[in-house]
Amino acid sequence: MRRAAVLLALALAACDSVEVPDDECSSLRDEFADKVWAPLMGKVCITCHQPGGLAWEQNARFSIVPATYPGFIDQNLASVRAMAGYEYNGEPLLLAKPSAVAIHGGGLQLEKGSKEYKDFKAFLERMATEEGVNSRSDGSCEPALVLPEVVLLTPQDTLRKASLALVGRLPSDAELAQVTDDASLATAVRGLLDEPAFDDWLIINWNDVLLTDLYGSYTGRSVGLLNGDDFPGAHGAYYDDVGDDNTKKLITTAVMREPLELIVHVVRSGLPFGEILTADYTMLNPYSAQVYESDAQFTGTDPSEWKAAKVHFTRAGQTIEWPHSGILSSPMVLNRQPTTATNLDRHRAWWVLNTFLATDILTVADRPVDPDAASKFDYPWRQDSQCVVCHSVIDPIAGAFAKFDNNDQERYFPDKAPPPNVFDPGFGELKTPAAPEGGPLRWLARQITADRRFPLAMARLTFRMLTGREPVEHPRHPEDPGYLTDEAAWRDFDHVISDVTTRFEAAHEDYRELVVALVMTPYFRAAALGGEDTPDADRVAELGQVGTARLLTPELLDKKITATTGLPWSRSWDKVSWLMSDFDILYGGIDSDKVTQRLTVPNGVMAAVQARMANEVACAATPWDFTKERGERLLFTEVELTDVPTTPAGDDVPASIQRIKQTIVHLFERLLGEHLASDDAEVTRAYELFREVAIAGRAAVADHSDIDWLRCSAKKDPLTGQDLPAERRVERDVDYSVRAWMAVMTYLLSDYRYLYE
Amino acid sequence: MSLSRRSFLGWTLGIGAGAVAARLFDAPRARAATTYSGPLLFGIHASGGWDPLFFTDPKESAELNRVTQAVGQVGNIRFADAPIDPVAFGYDAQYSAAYSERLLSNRTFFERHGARTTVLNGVDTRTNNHDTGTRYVWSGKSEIGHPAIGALVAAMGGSISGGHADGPPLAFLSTGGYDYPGGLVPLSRASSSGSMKKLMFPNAIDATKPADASYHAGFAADAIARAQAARMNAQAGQATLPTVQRALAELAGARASMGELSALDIPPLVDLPGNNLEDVQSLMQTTQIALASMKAGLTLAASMSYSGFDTHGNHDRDMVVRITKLLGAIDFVISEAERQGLSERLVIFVGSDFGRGPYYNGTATSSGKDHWSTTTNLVIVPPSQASQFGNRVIGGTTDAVRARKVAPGSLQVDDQGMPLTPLTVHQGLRKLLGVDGSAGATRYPLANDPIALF
Repeated sequence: MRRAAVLLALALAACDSVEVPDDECSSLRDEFADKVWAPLMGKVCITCHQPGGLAWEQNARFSIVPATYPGFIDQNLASVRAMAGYEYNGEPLLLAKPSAVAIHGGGLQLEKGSKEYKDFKAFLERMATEEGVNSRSDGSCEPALVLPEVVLLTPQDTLRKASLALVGRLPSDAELAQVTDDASLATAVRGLLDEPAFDDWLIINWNDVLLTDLYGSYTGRSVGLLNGDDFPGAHGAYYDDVGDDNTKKLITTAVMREPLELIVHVVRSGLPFGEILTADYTMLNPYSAQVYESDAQFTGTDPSEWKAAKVHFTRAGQTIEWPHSGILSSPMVLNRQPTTATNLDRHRAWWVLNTFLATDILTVADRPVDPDAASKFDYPWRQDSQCVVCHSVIDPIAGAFAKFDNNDQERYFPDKAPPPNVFDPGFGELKTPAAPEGGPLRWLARQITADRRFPLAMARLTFRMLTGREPVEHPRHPEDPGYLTDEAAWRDFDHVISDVTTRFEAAHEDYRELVVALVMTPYFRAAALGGEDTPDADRVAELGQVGTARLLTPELLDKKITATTGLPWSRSWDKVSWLMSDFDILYGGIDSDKVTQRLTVPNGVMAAVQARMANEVACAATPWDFTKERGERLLFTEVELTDVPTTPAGDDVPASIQRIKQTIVHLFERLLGEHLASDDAEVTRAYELFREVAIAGRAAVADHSDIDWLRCSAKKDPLTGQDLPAERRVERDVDYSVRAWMAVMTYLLSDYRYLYE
Repeated sequence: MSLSRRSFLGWTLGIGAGAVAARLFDAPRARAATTYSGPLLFGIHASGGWDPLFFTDPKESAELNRVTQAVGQVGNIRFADAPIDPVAFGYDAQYSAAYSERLLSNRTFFERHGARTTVLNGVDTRTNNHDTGTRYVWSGKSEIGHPAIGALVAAMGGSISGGHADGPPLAFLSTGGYDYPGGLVPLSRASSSGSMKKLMFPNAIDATKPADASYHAGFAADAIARAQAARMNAQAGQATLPTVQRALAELAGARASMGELSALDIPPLVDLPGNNLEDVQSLMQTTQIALASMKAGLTLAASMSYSGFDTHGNHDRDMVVRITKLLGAIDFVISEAERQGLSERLVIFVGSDFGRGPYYNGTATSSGKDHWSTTTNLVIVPPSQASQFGNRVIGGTTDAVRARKVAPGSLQVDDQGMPLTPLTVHQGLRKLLGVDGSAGATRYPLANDPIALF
C-alpha cells in the first residue's frame, strides 16, 4: 500500500492530473511529503522561502529548507506546524498567503480550489488533530521497516551477520536455536550489544566520526595537547616523570580515548544518547586521572577501569571547574576541530551541525560568492545576505565555544566574552541565556539533543557505520534523467530511517535499540529481490541501495578471520594483526589523519591483500586444525588426513568422499554462512577442487616433483608458541590431503561471501 | 551506476573467466600492464587555500604582502621575490645545505621550470568554502558528485562504468586531496613500507624470493583459480540485488588487475636528514611510489595533498614556509619523473581551495589572512609542449585582487572578456590530457567555456 502511494505521488510530481488515493496508512509525515512537499512546497514555495530566497531576505516568518538539507521533511514540517496557528479572516495564513487572500510578497501561487490547495488544507486540518508526526491512523498498516519486494535474510542468518559485524564472533548453536522469528532475533541482537566486544565496535566506528585516535599516533601526542599551566600532570608533575615508555603509552591512550570512552559509557549504561553531548562529566581511567589530577578513585592501575569524573584545575589560585558538555568540551575533540582568531569557532559550529543535526549548512546555501558585494559591508557576515544565510545559523552555535582559546584549542577562560560584531550566541531562534546552567556549551548541547534532527542524525551516522553505505540523499537536480528513480530510492530510505529514528526516540534514545532497529531493516537484511511483489526493472533500479554487500573493513575482516578459523592473521614477530598494521591503509582503512575516508570499492592492491590473506591463513589454519582431536576442531570436523578421494590405484573411496563432502558442507557453513546439502553444486565444485589437487599432488610426491614435507606445517601452538608433542604435529603430507584442504580453504577465504557481508 | 546481471556476466566472461582468478594466485605470470600510452596526471593540492600574492600574483603593496614587495620575473612569469633561509625558519642549522636543496624560492622554481609552466591567475572559484572550492578546482564543477580530473585520466586505462576489466590496479592513486572517483575507477592507496612487495607476489611464501617456495603448487593454484572463476560467475548469475551485482563486478575488476602489481619496481625511498622536512620527505616518498607505479603502467593519475595553507593566523611565517616546501616537492616530482623517463607523458596540475586575504585580518605579526575566492593554478606540461604551453601567464587580478576577465581568443586580460573559472581550467585540462572525448568526460560533461587554454 505504501509503495502504491509513493509511486502515485511521484507520478503526481510529474503529472498533476493523476489522482492519489487516500492512504490510510499514511502518517502525518508521509502525507506532508507526498501531498504538500512534492507538489507544492518543494516546487513553488521553496523558490522564495528557502535561505537566501527573496522572502528569506525580507525576513519572512515562514522559512523552509530545500531537499539538500538532510532531514528537510522534518524541518519543514516543523516550520509548517509553527505557522499553523496563524489565521487571516478565519483561514489558515499558510493558505491565505499563497492564494493571495492575504497580502503575499510572491503574489498568487496557489489557486483556491486546486488539488494542491485542497490537499494542503486537508493536511493542515489533520495536523491540528495529531500531535506526533509519525502516528498512524490505522493499526493494521504494514510495518514501515519492510520493503515487500525484498527477501530478507532468515533470522538466524541475520544473527550471524549482526554478530560478526557488531561483536566479531560467530553466534553459538544455542543462540541460533533461540532465534526463530523477528522478535527473538531482535532480542538476540540486543543481547550481543551487552558484550564487551561491542565497546570495540563503538570505539572504531565513532572514531571514524571524531578522528581523535589521531592523538595516539605517537607516544605523548595527546598529553602534549594539554596546557601545562592548567594541567601540570600532563607535563612535569606526572607525565614527564614517568620512566617507562609503556606507561607513557598507556597515559597517551587514556587521554586520547576520553571522548570515545564517554560514548561507550553512555551506551553501556543505557543512558539517553544525548548525554554524549550533555554530560556534566568526562571519563577517566587511572592514568588520565593523574594527568588531570582528578579525585576519582580506582581499584588499581587497570587501564580498562573508566569512571565518570569531573575535572577542575587551578589558575592564579582559583579553582576553575571544567565546563563539561560531553564530547563537545573534550580537549581531544576541541583540538581535532580547531579554530583560530578569525575563524571564531565557525568550523566547530559547522561540524556540530553536520555531525549531530544532519545539517550540512554549506549545501543549504551553496552559491557563488561575489567578493565585491561583501566588501561593501563592515561586517558582511551579518550584513551581506549572501553571507548571512550561513552565518546566522553558524555564528550563534559558534558562540557556545567562545570561552575556549583561539590558539591553545582546549584552554578554557570562563570570563572570555563572545566575539563582537557577530550574531549572538544561541540556537535557531533562541538566544543563549546570560548564565545558563552548566555554561553556554552545555546549554547548546541541550538544545541540540532536544531537536529531532539529533536522533535522526544519529540514525544516519549509525546506518553508515553498520552498512558501510552513505545514507540515501534526495536528488538535487530535477532535470537529471534518473531523478524520479533516485527520489523513489530516497523515499524508501526516508521512510525506513524515519521509522528507525522514531523507535530510537521511543526507547528513550538508548543507542543499543537504535542499532537493533537498523539491523532489522531491509538495508541490513536484504538477501535478494523477489518475494511477494516481484519488482519490475524500474523498481529494481529504485532498490539499488538496498542490502549491504559491504566490502569488510580491515577491522571487520580481521575479526572475521579469527572468529571463523580460530587463528588471527598476524605478524610472526610481534603478533600484531597484518590488517591493523602493514595492510590497514592499503586495504582501505583510515589513519585519522591524512586518510580519513574508507575505501569501499576494492582495487588491485586490495585484491592482492585478499589473496595473500587467503593463502597465509589457509597455510596456518589448515595444519593447525588437524593437530587437534576431531571434536575440538573448528574446520575439519568430519575427516582425518587419511581421508582421500581415491586409493593410490585410482579407485574411489566412497566413505572418505562422503566425509570430505560433509566437511565441505561444514566449511561453507562456518566460513561463508551458506547452508548447503552435500549434493549441492557448490559442494561438488569445492570437492572437485579437493580431488584434483589431492590426486595431482599425490602423483607429484610419488614422482618426486614435489616433497611430502610441508612448508605449511604445524609444530607449535600458534596461539601460545609452545612446541606441540610429536604425535600431534602435522609436518608431512604423503597423501597431499593437507595441501588439498589448503586449496579449499584458500578458495573459500577469498570468496565474495567471505570478503563481503 | 547499476550493472545488470547480463552486463556483469558479459564482462567477466568477456575477459576470460579463468583469467580473472588466475592472477589471484600467481602474480608473476601476469600479463604486461595497461597498454595506455597517453598523458599521465600528477595532481598536487595545496590544502587550506594558498595566497597567490605570495606566489605568482605579486603586488607591490605592504598592505597585501608584508614579507616582500619585490616582484621578480623569469620569462613571462612574475612572482613575489624573497630569498629563502632555512635557518630563519628556525630549522636545524647543521642540515642547512640539505634543506636548501629542498626548499625552493619562487625564483629558483621558475628558473628551473618556468619554461614548462602555465600560470593561471585570477581563477574565480566563487566560494570561500573549503569543500566547495576544492571540489571546484579539482573537478571543474562546484556541485557535489563530480569526479576529480584524475579519475577521468585513470579511467583511460579501463573503467568500471565502461564495462572493461583491464584497468590497472593503482590507476588512480591517492594519498590525499580531492580524489572522488565518481564510480569511474576504484581509488587506491599506496604504502611506503615493504608490504607492497608481499602483495606483488601473494603466492610466494617469501616475497623477496618469489621464484622460491609458494603456498600452492602451480597445478593447485590453477585449480583454485578455475574454481574461483566458476564460482563467481555462478554467484553473479544468482544475484538479484543491485548492490550485490555491483559488488561482484567491482571485486572481479579488482582481481583482474591484481597480477600486474608484480611489475612494480619501487626505488630506495628518500631519507632527508633531521626532522624539519619530514613532511616534504613524505611527499617525496609518495612521489617515488606513484611515479614507479606510473612507470610500470599501473597508475595513470596520482593525487597528493600538502596541508597547512589555511593561515588565518601567522600568515607571513607559515605561508612562506609552506610555499617553499611545496615548490621543493613539485621540483622533486619533475626530477623523479625525468629519472623514470616519464617527463614526456606527465602533466602536473597544482591547485588550492581558493585564495587568501587579500588584506590581513589584523596588525599583529601573528595575524593571518582569511579566505578569498580568487586563486591561482599551475599547469606544468611535458618538455615537448613547453614552446606551446610553457612560460605563460593567463589571467590576472586588479590591485584590489579582484579577478580580471580574459579575452577568449588572445588569452590576454581584457575587461570585456570572459571570467576565468575552474570550469575554464578543466575544459583546458581535459583537452591537454586527452580525456575530453572520453567516456568519463561524456558521463560528467562540462558546460562549454569559450576560453580555450590548451
